[in-house]
Amino acid sequence: MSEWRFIVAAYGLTWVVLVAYAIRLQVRLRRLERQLGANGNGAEATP
Amino acid sequence: MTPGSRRRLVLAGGAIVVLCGFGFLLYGGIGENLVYFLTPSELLARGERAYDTPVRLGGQVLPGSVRWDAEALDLRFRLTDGTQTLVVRSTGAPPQMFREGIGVVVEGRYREGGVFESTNLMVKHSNEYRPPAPGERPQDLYRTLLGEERS
Amino acid sequence: MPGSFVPAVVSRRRYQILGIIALAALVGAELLGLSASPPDRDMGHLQKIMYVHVPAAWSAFLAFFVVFIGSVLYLWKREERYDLLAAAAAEVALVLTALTLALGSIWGRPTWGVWWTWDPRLTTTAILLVMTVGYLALRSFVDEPDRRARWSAAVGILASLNVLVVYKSVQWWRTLHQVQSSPSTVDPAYALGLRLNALAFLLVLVYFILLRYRAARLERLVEAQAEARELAQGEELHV
Repeated sequence: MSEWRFIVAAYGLTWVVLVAYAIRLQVRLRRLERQLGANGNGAEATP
Repeated sequence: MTPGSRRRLVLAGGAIVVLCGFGFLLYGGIGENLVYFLTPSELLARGERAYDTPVRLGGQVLPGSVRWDAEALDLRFRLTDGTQTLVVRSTGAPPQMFREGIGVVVEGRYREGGVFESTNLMVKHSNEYRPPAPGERPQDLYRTLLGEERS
Repeated sequence: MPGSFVPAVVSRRRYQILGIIALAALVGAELLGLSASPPDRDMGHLQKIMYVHVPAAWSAFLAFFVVFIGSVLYLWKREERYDLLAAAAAEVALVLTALTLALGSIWGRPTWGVWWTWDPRLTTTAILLVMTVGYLALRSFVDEPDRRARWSAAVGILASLNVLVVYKSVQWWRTLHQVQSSPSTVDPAYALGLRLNALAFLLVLVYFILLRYRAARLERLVEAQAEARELAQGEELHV
């Protein structure tokens, strides 16, 4: 069934894009928090 | 002004020029000049000028007009806008949704023999989504059209 | 000065919980949509791509709405947080618009017969994408915060107004893309799946914008710290 190839591609692409962007944002936040902590502002930046 | 800030100003200015260009294209260009497809009536109204020019043509596949030669992969049908009708000839298997009565857009040239030779056939889906009625199977029409070749 | 825009820093873990809820909702909605929809009369199973393409487009539109609100509020109130909100939403809008175009392409190949065609809906969406790239590029070119915020608010408003053109394109011009569906043109068998998937995408959208907004605020904080350090060093030298 060739039509399923397209369905799998669409759902697969959706997950790759959403998860990749979520991970990218989390990593970026973690780096920023670490930077703020290193600058002696740990009280504000750590949870 | 430092060289760095001048460079940035040039880049920002460039970005604004590009954006304005797109804005012009969008509000000036598309509305006036860019008609995505012509109807059979509009194409025929061009008279002699209609021949041999690459053009997009849109309309409905006239029910009962589809002739499909599975060996030669040759498809012929009539395309109508309700007023005028043109014969379209296309090669290769049409997209899965192709059936009689559906909307299509074809890219190609109108020839002097009165046949539109399509190099690209696109099916226009309506905004309706429905399961098939009882007794009707999805894509039955397509399967009938292409016969055994696909299944 | 830095203190004025420092948010009450919420734990990243809370965002992670929201993210997990959003993605779990998406899994649930997709499973329901995939399992409960009968094949469509014309499209067969390919109708199921609707559950990702349409919610992606809707949430991209919503993200641009946030860009618009943030940009207008910035020009009105001149408060930095609105500028950062618009910037956060614009990046999310870019991701979702690109996803919408890619999913539309995957859907178009087997149904329309082409990956891409320059019809007005597709063309205006591509222009919207390019304008959003331009918006984010402008932000990275201009370092001075006030000027960056003013200019990008103007471009942000222009880009998000474009969404109206994209939305209306199928009514104003002849297109290959169909006009908007409505409850009367979508069978109830598909409407529920579409609504649930749209809701899940809405959660993902909120999660992305909140996370990106927090990153934008922390970035400003890091910038302000660097400025303060430079200033302190300068004073030491002059003493």
